[in-house]
Amino acid sequence: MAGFLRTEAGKGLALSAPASLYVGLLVAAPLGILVAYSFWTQTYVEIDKTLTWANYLEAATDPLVRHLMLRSILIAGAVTAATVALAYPIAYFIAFRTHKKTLWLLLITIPFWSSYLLRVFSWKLILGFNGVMNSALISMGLITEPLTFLLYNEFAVVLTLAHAWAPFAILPIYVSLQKIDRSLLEAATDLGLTKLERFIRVTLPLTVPGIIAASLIIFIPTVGDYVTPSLVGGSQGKMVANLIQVQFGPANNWPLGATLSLVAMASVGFVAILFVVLATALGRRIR
Amino acid sequence: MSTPVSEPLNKPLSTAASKPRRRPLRFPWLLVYAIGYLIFLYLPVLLLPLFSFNDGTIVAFPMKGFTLKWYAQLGEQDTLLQAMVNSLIVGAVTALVATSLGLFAARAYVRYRFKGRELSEGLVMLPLVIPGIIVASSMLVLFISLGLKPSLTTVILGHVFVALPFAVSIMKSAFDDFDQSLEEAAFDLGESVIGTFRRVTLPIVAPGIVASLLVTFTVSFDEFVLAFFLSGNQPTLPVYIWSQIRFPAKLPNTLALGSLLLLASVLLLLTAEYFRRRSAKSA
Amino acid sequence: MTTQNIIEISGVEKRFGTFTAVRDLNLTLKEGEFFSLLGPSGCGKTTALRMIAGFQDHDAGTIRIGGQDMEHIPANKRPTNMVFQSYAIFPHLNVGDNVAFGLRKLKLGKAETEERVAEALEMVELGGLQSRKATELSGGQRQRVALARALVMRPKVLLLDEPLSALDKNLREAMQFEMRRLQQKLGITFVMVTHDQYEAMTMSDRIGVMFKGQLKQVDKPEVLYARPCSQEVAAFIGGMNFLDAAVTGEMNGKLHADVRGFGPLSIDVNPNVARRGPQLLAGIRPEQLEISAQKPDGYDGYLQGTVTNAAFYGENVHYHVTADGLPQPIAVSVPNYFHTVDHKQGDPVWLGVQNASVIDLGAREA
Repeated sequence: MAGFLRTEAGKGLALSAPASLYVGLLVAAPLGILVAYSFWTQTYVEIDKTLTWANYLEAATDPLVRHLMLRSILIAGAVTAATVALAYPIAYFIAFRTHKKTLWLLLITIPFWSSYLLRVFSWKLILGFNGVMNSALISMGLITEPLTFLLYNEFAVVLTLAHAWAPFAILPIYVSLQKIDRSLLEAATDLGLTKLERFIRVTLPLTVPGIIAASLIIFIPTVGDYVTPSLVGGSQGKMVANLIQVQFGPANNWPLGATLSLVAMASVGFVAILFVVLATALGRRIR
Repeated sequence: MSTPVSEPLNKPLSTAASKPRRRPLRFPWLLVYAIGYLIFLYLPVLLLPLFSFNDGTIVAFPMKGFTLKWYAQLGEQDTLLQAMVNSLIVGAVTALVATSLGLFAARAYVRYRFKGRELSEGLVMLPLVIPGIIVASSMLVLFISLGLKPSLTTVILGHVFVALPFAVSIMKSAFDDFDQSLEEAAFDLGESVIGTFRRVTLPIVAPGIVASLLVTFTVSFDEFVLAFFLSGNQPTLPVYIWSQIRFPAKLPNTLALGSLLLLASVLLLLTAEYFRRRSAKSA
Repeated sequence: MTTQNIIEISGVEKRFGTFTAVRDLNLTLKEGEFFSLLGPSGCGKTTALRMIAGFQDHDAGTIRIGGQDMEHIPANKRPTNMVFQSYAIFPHLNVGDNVAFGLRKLKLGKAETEERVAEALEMVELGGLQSRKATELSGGQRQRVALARALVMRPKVLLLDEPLSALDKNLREAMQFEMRRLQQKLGITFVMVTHDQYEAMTMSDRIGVMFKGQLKQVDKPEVLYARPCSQEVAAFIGGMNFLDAAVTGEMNGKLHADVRGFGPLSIDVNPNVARRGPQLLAGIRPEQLEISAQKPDGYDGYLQGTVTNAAFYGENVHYHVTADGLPQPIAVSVPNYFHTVDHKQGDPVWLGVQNASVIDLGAREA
């Protein structure tokens, strides 16, 4: 054992073990317990440890669960698409059109070190019926009645999250743009491509890994986001995380909450893998 | 959860070898878009400080007079101060634990080739992509099953989990720029293994350590969902703010508090960025 | 110069997984010697150096330094110090603290430490630069600091891993002479690893040539050049024309052989050659051939051919000459006396060679 610890492999394992064990245990142990809970049932404070599929049956048949799950995935998809689409030009601008790259990257990251909770809350204040946006538009005389479609719907959730995730999209895409060898672009022009063709046939395919990374890092946590739907989603914008929280909080039905968590995770994983496969294949189709 | 790992920040200047040609006659669409995007990014962030000085409880235009009373009232609220202390404790402990774990792991990843390295590297990044609600609910269930009551301790356990990817990636970039032969040189000159770590490794990666401490502290300080599930009757600051958001009368106080937190976060992170760059430069 | 052995390596082997980096290494170095390990990258020379330094354990054999077995003695306890390829100057310390790094461990006292640091910096011509920041040094200065930092420890053996590869050409040539001067003045054994044959030849007392983990030949530079032990060693050091030859007889240390293109010649038997066979490989250095438009007088072998290539190299002129029956053109190098290229492509020429210029390389390698 002492001999092994002096080898390269031994030192590496020993040094990385605390971190990986910590994360590993805190992923595996809760998951194991969640799985156990998902087969139990609860009446008030009593946990009935008889194994049963009841929770899964309920999750599968309850229209509310199915509706919220589907909506969560759709909203997360919309958020991902909106964030990436809004972020790509910025990443492109920083990579190719400015010399002050460091400054721009810093400018883009600074807002995100403020509390996420407060940023979402701020959007609620901006989009509200008597909020900043409506009052500003009214005092400028652009509208007479407050706009009601701004807050408490899917739009508000998508807008707020597209804001919240901005650097998560910009940075990976920027890195993949920055990695492109500039002579590749010159070669494409030299071979007769127009700027647009060059972007579609060279730049875009080379940034597919960045787009995939950005999409995953946005999509996965968004499906399980709790704060944004609670604050700006209203009843139309509620997502699966709100339902899970209710099970662990007010409804006090942990087994069902555990089941919903697992189902949510499985669905997210499935959609994410599907997305990676599709995006990779699509990137390869471009010739 | 707040922001991605700022790893790419130290690359751009060095790789900006070929400069785009200037085209003075074309309308700079991208620049205009970029400025518009910045406004979108900063709007909600700057709104809080703006209205925190507004002499009125409604956040809408036109604004009323200027006042500092919302800030003055903050000092009188005991629960707020307690929540602040809780958050500081949780943040400090989280930063220390996550940075230590990250320091060792990052060194292993950069320095040694061993079986399971990639698996381990992937594993410690996992917290970044697990939905917060699932981390929170599963940890709550785990800790209750283990007989751990929700408290600051359980919040710390959870925060170390979510802060670890940040610590590992910052420490990894600190070690990436670190020439391995520096340690061999120290060892060759007669220094012991521990002495080499103390006299060479530590001073050179020190800026990275400071950056990691500051970033992980901020991650913990801002984190809400985990704390909401795991803090029990010891609320952290975000949990306190959450409880205040519901009451319109408390709104201006919340704005004032949020503005102060914003200022503190930005200052901390600019400091962290400064140290991170110094670490990149010195190596 | 004493003749005491300082390093004795016998039967040393190093494996990485299934790959054998160094096999059956046997080498004895004398005190005060400048020794170079020369070979292409990946030949195992750096691994050999790192085993002497103690950064890598050896899997078999013994390494003795100053008569002491180095088994299980870590690098920080060995009487060797190293100059790293990257120089490994501590970026957080100034020049003086870099040089004093190892002395601090010896607890010499402030005055003596400072004196030795000053002396070491004087030695490498960086006197008075103690407070200069490490990050403000030029490449050449970094190299000097690395040297001073190792020499200040007064090691029995100084190990140098490609010490000049990070410098540009002019600086590299200047440092070659300076390091040689320093080594002779201090009388410390230097062991240098390099892939540059000229570097090895200008600086070393002896050179060891390594290929694929094996030490092929250890000799003085001029012997290595004149009597290489095999085709691969001959090809690695300097230019060489390889010609097949049929041995017709052997007498008084001379081989009588029919050398392709040049006819019958009498070749000195090369004692270093390991492989013998019925076929002989003869080597002729390009600069040992005479080239002329008319048949030159006083040579032992001649070849009539045509110039296929002529190139002006500055200090000399290179020609390629082909003749019927030769698989490859013969390279000829002539000193540049009058800044002229005397023979043009397509010109008919004569080549002349002396018996003494032909090198016996033993059997051709497969």
